[in-house]
Amino acid sequence: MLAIKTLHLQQFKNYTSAKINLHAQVNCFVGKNGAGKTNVLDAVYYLSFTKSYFNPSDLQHVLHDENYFSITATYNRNDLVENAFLFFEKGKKVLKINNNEVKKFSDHIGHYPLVMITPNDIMLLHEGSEERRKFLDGMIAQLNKMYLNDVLLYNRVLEQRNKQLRVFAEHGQIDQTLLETYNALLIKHGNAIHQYRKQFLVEFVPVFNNFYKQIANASEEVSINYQSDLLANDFEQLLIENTQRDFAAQRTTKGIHKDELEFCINGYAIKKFGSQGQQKSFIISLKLAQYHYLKNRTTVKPLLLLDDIFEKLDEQRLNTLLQMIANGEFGQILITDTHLDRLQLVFNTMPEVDVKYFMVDAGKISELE
Amino acid sequence: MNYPSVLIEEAVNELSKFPGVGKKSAMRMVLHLLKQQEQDVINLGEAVIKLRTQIKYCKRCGNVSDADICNICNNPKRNQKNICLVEDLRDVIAIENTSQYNGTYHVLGGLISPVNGVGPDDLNIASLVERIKTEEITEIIMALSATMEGDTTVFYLSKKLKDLPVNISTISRGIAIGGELEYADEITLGRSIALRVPYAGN
Repeated sequence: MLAIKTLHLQQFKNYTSAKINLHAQVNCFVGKNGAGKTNVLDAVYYLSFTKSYFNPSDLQHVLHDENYFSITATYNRNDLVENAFLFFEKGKKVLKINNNEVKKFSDHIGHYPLVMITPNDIMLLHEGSEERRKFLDGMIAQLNKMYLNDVLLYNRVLEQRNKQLRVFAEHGQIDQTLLETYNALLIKHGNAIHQYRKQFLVEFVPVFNNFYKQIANASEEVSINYQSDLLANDFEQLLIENTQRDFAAQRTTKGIHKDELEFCINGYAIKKFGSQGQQKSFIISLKLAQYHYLKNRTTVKPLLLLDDIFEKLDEQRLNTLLQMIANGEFGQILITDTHLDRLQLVFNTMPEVDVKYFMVDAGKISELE
Repeated sequence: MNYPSVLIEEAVNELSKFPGVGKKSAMRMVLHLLKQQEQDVINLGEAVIKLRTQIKYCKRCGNVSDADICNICNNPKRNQKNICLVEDLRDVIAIENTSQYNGTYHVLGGLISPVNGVGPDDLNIASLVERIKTEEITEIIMALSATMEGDTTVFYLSKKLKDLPVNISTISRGIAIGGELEYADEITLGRSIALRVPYAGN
């Protein structure tokens, strides 16, 4: 099992100092909008991913007029206690696990597996393809360091190749040997990434479809189609054929950095043809499938953070989700909501689920007896 | 920062150009210098000036040298048919300290990195090709960093040199000697497993 026992926020967002003891099962954070409920979840997210789910600027997570924040937590991992400490001050971010400094943050990703579901996730459907690639990369990288390494190197090679294409343009000619060099490196990492992505989706998509059927309780067919330049073409051939095009555009026009995940319902793009409800079901199913995938590949059940999920789901979808909680499919869960009565009403019908309630108000957290 | 003297300000500005030295560290150095004997500081200054104005690079390998040809290139006991290709002077020193190499060197002066404005023409590649052709070099060992830029440079050179009658090798990569397996990072360990070698009995 994996569960946070204590969480201590210092000068993090709107908290001067807040210390709480969490329950190993369900923890509900209740308060008005702007009280700081989501910040608690984001702090937990920080300890798993060394960054915020919402805002890439660490600095903006420091309490106003202060110059640092820290997040301290004790985790219970299969009955062994582990201390995690994250500290940020302008220009410096330190993560310590059991007092040992983590040198490379990328090594830490996956140490505390976690899935977060928030109303923000809908942008996965509406934003550009980069968001979907990030989602895909995030899932695979949490469990596969070689994949992460390939992605980082691919992006570095891509950056160098694009810069070199601009240099070629300035000189009005191509150094063929140098271009072939960058092609070879791009191909090496690109092909590896492509294989990982294909293989991942073969396993992931059926799980996703299954969750969608449960959550939506409907007969519509959903699908995730992987689109890539590399599916029908040899990468090297593709790069050679597009040399002149790349030269003119001064950037690399083909490759796995153009991959796309196409989300469909009954064969049509869900962002155009799906109803609000269908889109919500789609997102939740994606996230639950991610949870399921992670769970099957780690020795502990990942943490599940549900932000404002009650606002997002109608009663029937919610009941399906809560039934899964009652069945013990998840490990520790952190939920935020604006209404205490609504949460209590639901969880009182599930005596087998242990729930702890916290009231959040203007940067103060108090436990409800 | 406000300085009480223009002299101090100038010195701080110059010293803070060193890699890893900020204004505060530079200020500490300045205070240190002011506490020293005047002659000591003059010696330091002269050493720095001489270093920069009188330094020579070996006409053959590009290594730092006091003469036209460096001690290593001039040493008849060293194998003059082998070249170990390195990025800069520091790598020459590091490899020399191993006492495991008895050939000559060739200092590239950097790695290919367009993002940093370094292209193949900025490196000592033409002189390397020239040496291989005229000196009947038999083996070239690419001892470059295990970074993406290092890989790029190795790959580029191997393409450039492929029609020349010279063996190209690269230094091996993997688990540090005396290192415990569990402390190796996953990428290195993964690569070491994938590129394992037949046991030679050491």
